Amino acid sequence: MRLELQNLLPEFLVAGAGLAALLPELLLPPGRRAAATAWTSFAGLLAALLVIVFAPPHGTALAVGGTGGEPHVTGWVSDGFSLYCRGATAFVGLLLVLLAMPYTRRLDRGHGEFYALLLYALLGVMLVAGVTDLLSLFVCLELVTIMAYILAAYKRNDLKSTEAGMKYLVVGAVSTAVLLLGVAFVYGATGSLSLVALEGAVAAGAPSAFLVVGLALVLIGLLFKVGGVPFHVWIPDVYEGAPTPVTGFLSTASKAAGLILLLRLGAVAFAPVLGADGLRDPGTLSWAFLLGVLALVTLLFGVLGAVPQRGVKRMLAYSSIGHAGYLLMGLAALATFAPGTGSQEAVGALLFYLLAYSVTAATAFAALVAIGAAQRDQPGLGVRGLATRSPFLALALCLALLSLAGVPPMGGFVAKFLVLKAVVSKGLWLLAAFGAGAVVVSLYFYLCWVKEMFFPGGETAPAGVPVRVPPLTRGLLVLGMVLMLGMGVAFGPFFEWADGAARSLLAAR
Amino acid sequence: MLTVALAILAAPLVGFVLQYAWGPRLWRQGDWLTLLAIGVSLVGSGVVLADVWGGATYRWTWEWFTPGAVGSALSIGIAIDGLTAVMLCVVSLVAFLVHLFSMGYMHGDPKYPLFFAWLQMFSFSMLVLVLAGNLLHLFMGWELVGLCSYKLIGFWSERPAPANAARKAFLTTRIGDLGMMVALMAIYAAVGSFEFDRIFEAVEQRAFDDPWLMLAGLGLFAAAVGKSAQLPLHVWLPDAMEGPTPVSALIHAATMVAAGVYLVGRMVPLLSPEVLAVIAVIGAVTALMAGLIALAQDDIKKVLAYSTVSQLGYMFLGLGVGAWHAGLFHLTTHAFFKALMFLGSGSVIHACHHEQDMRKMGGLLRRLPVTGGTFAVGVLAIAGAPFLSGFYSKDAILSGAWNRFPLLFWIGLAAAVLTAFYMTRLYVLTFLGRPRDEHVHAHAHEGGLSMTLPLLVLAVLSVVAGWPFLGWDAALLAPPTHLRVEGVATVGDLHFEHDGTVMVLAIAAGLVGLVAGYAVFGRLAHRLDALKAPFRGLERAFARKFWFDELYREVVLRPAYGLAAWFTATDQRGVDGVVNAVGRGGTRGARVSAFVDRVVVDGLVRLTGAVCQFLGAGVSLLQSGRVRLYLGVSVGALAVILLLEGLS
Repeated sequence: MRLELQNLLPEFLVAGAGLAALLPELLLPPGRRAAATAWTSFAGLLAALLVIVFAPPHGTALAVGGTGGEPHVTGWVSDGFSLYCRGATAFVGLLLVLLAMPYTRRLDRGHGEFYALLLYALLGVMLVAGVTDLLSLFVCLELVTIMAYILAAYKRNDLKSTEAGMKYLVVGAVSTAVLLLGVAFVYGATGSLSLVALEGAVAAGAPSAFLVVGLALVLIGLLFKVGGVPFHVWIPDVYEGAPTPVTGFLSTASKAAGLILLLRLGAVAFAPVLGADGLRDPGTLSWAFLLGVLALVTLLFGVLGAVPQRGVKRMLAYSSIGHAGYLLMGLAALATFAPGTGSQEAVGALLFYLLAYSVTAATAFAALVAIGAAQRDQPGLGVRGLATRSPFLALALCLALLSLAGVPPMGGFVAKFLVLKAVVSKGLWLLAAFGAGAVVVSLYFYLCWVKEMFFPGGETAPAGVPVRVPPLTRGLLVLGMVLMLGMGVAFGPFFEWADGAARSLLAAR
Repeated sequence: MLTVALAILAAPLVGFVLQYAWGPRLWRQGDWLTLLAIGVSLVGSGVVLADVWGGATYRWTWEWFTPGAVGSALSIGIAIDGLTAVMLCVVSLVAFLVHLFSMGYMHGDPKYPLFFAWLQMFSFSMLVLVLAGNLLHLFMGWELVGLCSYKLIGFWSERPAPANAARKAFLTTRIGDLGMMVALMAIYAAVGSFEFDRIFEAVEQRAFDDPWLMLAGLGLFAAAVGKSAQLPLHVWLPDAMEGPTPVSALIHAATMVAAGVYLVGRMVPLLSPEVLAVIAVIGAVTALMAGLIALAQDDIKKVLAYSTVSQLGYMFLGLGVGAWHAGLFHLTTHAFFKALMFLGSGSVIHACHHEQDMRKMGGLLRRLPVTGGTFAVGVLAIAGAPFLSGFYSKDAILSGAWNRFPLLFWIGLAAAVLTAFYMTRLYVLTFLGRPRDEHVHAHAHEGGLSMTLPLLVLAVLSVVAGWPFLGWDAALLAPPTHLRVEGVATVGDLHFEHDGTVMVLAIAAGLVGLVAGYAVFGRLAHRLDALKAPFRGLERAFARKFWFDELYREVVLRPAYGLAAWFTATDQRGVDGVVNAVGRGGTRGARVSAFVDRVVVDGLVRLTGAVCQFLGAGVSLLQSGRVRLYLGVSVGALAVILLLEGLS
């Protein structure tokens, strides 16, 4: 067994910050705990991000067995793909820490725990990016999920929050069981937990039904995390019930963890079709068909379900299901054989989508947190007529909604465009047509909320008391808006980064 | 150097954002911030000027995106050469002084901070335009300039006149911008790139055989005609006087109208000899006609507005006859003395409690010594008095015309006489003689230092900017290297071959105008009506601006409204006809139609509703909140998938 822990330096920084975030709870008077823990967490994530950007480590971190220089089993690797995902996670983590501040400031206890849990969840997402065997996959993913259970139920005295945590736990337990069952099946079929061995078994052609069922179970276990229909069932209730910053985490980093693993696994499980000279595996139902149907159902469900919603958080929950539909669409493209470089294009598009969506969702939730914080002082405050009470918040939320809908100058548009382009280049015209059609429907319900903010009409909007936005939130929202616009206008560097990560993932097989 | 260029651009942009967002809350409502920002641009422009003195050029290009699979990459670029440096200095200097002046002039305005925000944006837009390294980038600045002029001309939008003037300015220049878009498309079709160098190389190779390039040249000139208010699109500029006076100064000296001249100056290698001839003729005719109209205006700002139109005509005349250098030289000197006179008129208007009618002024020189004194410098400069800046640049243009189109030279000379004449009229009516309105006169007083200082600076520049031994024009305004096309090749150094005859004639023209103006409006003022009697008809024509507005109303607007009315009428007749037919169809027909309506139309609507309800109900049925159901659905689906996967 060989350990090269220096490759895990960013993760150690985050883990250390998680521990350090608990200290102010012990040492400082209650009034100053919130800010101290928040900034400790911020510093840890920032340090991790700086390491990833300026001193990216390359190599394996955990290697077991093997003779000579070549390890037999690697548990964890730091390659271009994992670096992109870890960097994006650390960055989104920074946004999440900032956006949670107005919320935690109002907590009367448990500031340290909140940030420690958040940081360990983020740590899980970062670790997930580099896993190369099914066991570490399971462990890292559970790190994310268990933290998220607690976070979802963080408002212990709130019925909805507790219910959300409970539901999440039960559904999550089932998904974990499914995943673990799948891992067991795969191990039974191949005799190894390593993804390399798995790829060898898949690429050899005509895999046993045992292996196929195992893979299907693992994929479905991950679909629970991403929120693909019909494994999305927990999403609306949990998103609505959980504290808003936690919902922000669930819809960005937690969802990303599932997709990152799907990509990592897909690059192995779909090995026969990935290259330019791939072979169709005749023995099984094609993964592309399965994922395509799931993507379609997910998309329709998310978009149609969002239309009648009356609460922003619940609407965003359905919207996140819709976005999972686009992500699955990209996966379906990855699982389809077509000559050319479509596979890399698909992975790159998905990685870009992930970042653009995360930044957008973080901006939207930051605005919601700010509204929520103001709501304590002024009950009955929603987004209705927000433009007259805080034009700034209304602008930020409006831009975020437009980006979610995929309107041109925003990053969301480029992301959708890239995914659809990859889908088309793989020849899945029908899927792409549905994807484009869904944009129109989603435009309708997003714009309904924009109208609600700017032209409330009907009975008069809640009294025009201005909403006070703290400067930090203001800065965060400005950053979010700049990024959303930047990813829409100057998308070149972002895309190249994502494309490089995609190349690394597909080359590393 | 790149840092400097970016700083020049960034400072006013940051200034705009800060001022727009937080201006009202800052100390002094943020005016110092915008002044500081434009000051940074000014210093940067000075650095650029010093650096390119002697012919250095810079260019940076960043790829933006590639449209489709066939097009070549579009880019964002900054290019700096002598012309850019001159324009940078003029723009940032005039903008700086206008900011400073506005601190006094706009004092107490309820929208004071907003005014400075838009001034910043206006300056930023023009700097973008000037620094642009390719035509597409330039176009962005161009449109931004248009937008900002709209916001600023209509700054007092609560009054109808400024709102209408802003709309008129925007729509009229839009007509010209259409030409710009045609030109952009033509150039992309012909050359496949918007880079200046690539376009000029293409011109060199193909020498106007390509009809696309011809079209592009005409389109660009149409855009310039709109922006620079030349015939026949000059009508917006005088109306734009409804905006605050500092804005007028900025528009007339450094930003809006200068953009058109700059565009033609920048793109001159693209213009074929025929297009250049058109430019020269339009320029000369505009110079003369606008001068005649200026003669009969009583509003002090309207006189200056038509004077600008006339002077811009001069610049186009210069560019058109191939005196490239002279046209841009005049752009620079004109920027100084016109800004001086506009700010001076602003000072007068400020002093007279926003009275703009010259017939109510008079004798203000004693009350406003600084304004009156500096204004006199401006008048002498624009009239072409020897040794002032205007003399050198105007002389250069006339020399160019003399060498190429003698007829246009005589028109230009007539316009020069007119210029001196109406400017003297303005000065005499405003500053000399006896006060004609005691009330206005009694309260007049000089504005603060922020208003007089810009006047003094501009007065000095109006005097010295043209002095040949400074040599800035020779050092910086080197003709474009690609200017080798036949018919245009004779350009460049006309400035240094002052034709003796031309010079004498130009000096004489200025003096005749000045003396005649003083004689008629100063000495013989008491007999003015008798003197004007034989020219009653002409004066009417001038005062009504040759009926251009009326002409457009009759020829463009009325037919358009007529057409609209016709459509409305047809529509009503058609609709009414259908309604009547249905009515005449009798009760039975109505009943049938009602039945159809109820069953088919309403049925469809209800069906759609029902489908939505059904889908929604389906969704909410699933989302009942029961975890058992949730898991049942998921695990059921799981089982189906596994069966399919495992068995297939």
